[in-house]
Amino acid sequence: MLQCQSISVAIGSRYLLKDVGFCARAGEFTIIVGPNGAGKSTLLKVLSGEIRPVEGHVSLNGEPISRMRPAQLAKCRAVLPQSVTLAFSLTVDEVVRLGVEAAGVKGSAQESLCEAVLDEVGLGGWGTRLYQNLSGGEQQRVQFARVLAQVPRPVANDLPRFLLLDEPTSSLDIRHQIDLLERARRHAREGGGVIAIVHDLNLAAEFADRIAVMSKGQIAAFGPPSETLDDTTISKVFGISGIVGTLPPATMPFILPQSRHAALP
Amino acid sequence: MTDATSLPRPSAFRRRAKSGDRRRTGQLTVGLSALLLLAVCVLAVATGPSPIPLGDLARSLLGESDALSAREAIILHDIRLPRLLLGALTGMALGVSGTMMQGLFRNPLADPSLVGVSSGAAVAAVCAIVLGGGPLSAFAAVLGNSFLPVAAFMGALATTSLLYFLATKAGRTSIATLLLAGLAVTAIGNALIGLVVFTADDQQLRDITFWTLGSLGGATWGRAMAMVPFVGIMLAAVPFVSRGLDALILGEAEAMHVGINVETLKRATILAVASACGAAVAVAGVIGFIGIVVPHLLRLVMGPSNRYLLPASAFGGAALLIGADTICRIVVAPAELPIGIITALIGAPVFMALLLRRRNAFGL
Amino acid sequence: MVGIYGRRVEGLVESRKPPVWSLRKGTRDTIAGALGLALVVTANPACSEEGGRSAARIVSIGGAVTEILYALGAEERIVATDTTSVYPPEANGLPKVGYMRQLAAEGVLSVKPDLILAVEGSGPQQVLGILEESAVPIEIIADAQTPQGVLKKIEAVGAAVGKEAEAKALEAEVAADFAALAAEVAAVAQSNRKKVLFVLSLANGKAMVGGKESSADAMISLAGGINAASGISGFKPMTDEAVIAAEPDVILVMQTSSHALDADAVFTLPAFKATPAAESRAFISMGGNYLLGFGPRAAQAARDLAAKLYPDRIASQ
Repeated sequence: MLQCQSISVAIGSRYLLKDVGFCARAGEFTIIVGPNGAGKSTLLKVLSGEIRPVEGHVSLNGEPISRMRPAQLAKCRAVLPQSVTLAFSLTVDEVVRLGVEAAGVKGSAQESLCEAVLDEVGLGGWGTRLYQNLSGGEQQRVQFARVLAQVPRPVANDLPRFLLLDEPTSSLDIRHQIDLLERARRHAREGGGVIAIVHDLNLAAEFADRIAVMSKGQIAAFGPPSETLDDTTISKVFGISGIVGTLPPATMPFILPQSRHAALP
Repeated sequence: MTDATSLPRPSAFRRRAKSGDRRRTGQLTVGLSALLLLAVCVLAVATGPSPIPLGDLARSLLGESDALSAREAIILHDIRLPRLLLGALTGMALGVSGTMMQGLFRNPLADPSLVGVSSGAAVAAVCAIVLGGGPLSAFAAVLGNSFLPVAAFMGALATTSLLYFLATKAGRTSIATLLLAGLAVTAIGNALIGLVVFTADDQQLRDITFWTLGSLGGATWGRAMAMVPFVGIMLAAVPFVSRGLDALILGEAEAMHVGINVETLKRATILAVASACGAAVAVAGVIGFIGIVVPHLLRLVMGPSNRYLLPASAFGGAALLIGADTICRIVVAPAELPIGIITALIGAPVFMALLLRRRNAFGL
Repeated sequence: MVGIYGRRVEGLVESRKPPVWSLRKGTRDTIAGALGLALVVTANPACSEEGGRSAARIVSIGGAVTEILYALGAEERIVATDTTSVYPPEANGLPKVGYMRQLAAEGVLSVKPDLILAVEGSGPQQVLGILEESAVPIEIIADAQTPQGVLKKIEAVGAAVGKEAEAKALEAEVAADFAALAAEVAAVAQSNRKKVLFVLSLANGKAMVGGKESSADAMISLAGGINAASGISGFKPMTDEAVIAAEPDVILVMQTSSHALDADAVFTLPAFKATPAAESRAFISMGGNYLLGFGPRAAQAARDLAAKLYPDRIASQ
């Protein structure tokens, strides 16, 4: 369980997060949605330990992360950033290996783990290419492979491990978006925990076990998709009106966005 | 034995690069650079303005006491060998410091001499020369031969920390800020040196001139040995920082995510660079460009992974400096060229090429 | 005669103190050691007797030392000199071991010397330390910028190369020259003495001048002039206003190929335009080594300068 209580983060007098409580359970795929500037990435950074909140605390499997060493933390959770710019040109393998080493895998098992995670993101045999020569989507998949390599098993020592994914689908085509989210969901199904920021509300509805809708540094709604992605929340949080319907299996909502002008009476 | 030129050219290498190859290339390059250093050392010992027969040299080095005449023995044991050790230590210090600074600042242009670290060390060294006879004489007496390296180390440490503080904001180090801060620090350094020089007496003035020119002349066993602990600190840090610097290629937050204690890494790296750079400046003056040329050329051959790059930089830096020094000793014999001329002639074009290639990336 | 200059000798010697930073446990290459040796050698020439006297391969470092060797007739025994040894012109034909303050240990040893004669101030100290450890005798010749210092220099060089008799003769000649000049200069009334400003260089229009305790100061007073920059110590930059306030009657410069200053260039500068020297266009240019070298020609140089300052009272030779 990765949870935080009464978190506040501020720059000067402006609050990015104000008194936020959040919790991601093992075995569940939790997706955070919300408009730009709602504080989604900030929340993820707090959960990953990258940002220390001015108030509140974060705990991972019952232990406050502020008391965990980075190496210890790295064995319990892996983080996929929005985008990564390399300072020097590493190969795909060298990038993935940083995850492999964080997992504490040694010797020849490193090679096979590298190959395995690259296979999983559909980049088998790409290990020798230079990262900087890949397309944006391919780079994102390499980073996802690195994240998978860092926590190769969803559960270790009876404790769940977490994936924290910041807009993992932003540069991907629709097929790879689905592949990636499916792979992440598998991690959750096998006992781990996943938290992802996703902009596509329909994908969120499809894959999430629970959805946190964020707005203005706070959580506006938190629960299963059918309870959180409704007309009122969508129009209040995003300031649009859309057609919200349900698809079989019965309760899954879908959102069909409309031009804001067309929506006017 | 193959030499470095028989390795794949960068462009060809990039096309058929394999990660396995890269690691093997890394190991191979470390080995080759060590062999190159060995070869340069032999060359440096064997050549000089006074020719000494190779066979006699070898026999003397193997412990035969009457292999050389008294004059030749002094040239070998009191001039060439301490100078070789001093050159090797200084070259290692400069090569590895360059690689570490570039890793830390995530930029291939960061170099101790360009961003003002050497300048900070030089200010401290000059102050030590002038104040060592007066207000600081107690320290000077206690520290003996280490007084100057210690002072230079403090100067380098202060400058590196200041630079990091100035150029880094929210985990991102701005190259433009870094270079400008380096210019400012160097300017302040020169001003301080000017101020100190104005109050210096004739004798001190000559010692200061020696520092600002940079030279391996005047190497003695005592001076070379005084450097050993400082360079030792840096070399001891290499295995502990190499994975962290690799992770830092992704970014500071990402390094933290894969388990690196970034603050500790920064402190260790700054300490290592300041220690070695300070000592190098203290004994050999400001010698530029080694720290930028060596890592850059090595990265072209072996990639940027610090695990192999750092050791290879140590060997390569030492080989380049000793090689340049050998040229300085021979070309205008019996006089000597200042070594800064040779390193700048080799280094400046590489720096300019690097700047041109990256001009767009930096928006400069 | 000698006594007149005794004060200055002491003044120069006591101002040199060894920098403490290079002190180390072993005494062999400390600067203190080097200086100590220098003083011992010059005070007691006997200590060089084993090898140096008959030396056939001398490395001569310092223009004055080289000049003395030539004057003593020991020129054939010189194998190399430094870049400040430019007189007599034949000295330029010898191999150069670099600038006297930037010597290379192996470079010096490579010409297989059996005696190294170096003027005080040669260096770097570390290199001198290494040379001292070598089997080659090295003698540091004290360099005091006074007539007495010149005589001592001749004496020391003569003793080092076994030419005591020639040295005695040269000393007597130089001493007589100095004495004659001093007598003539003394006859110039204080009120007629000229204020002389020695300008070493003009970088960006800023004058680097010779203050008190500089070699230029010593030369000016030998020639009967008054140093206009006596408020400054050593060679230091002087502000424009201070140049005007100093009211120099004469500007004295070094005549060298690399940075030759000419009267037009100097007197167009605002600082110099307003000086008495500019009005009378009193501008003296003399060879740098000749003027400031304090070698065997020092008395002659002083007389030349005096003759230029007071042409109606002192003859140039």
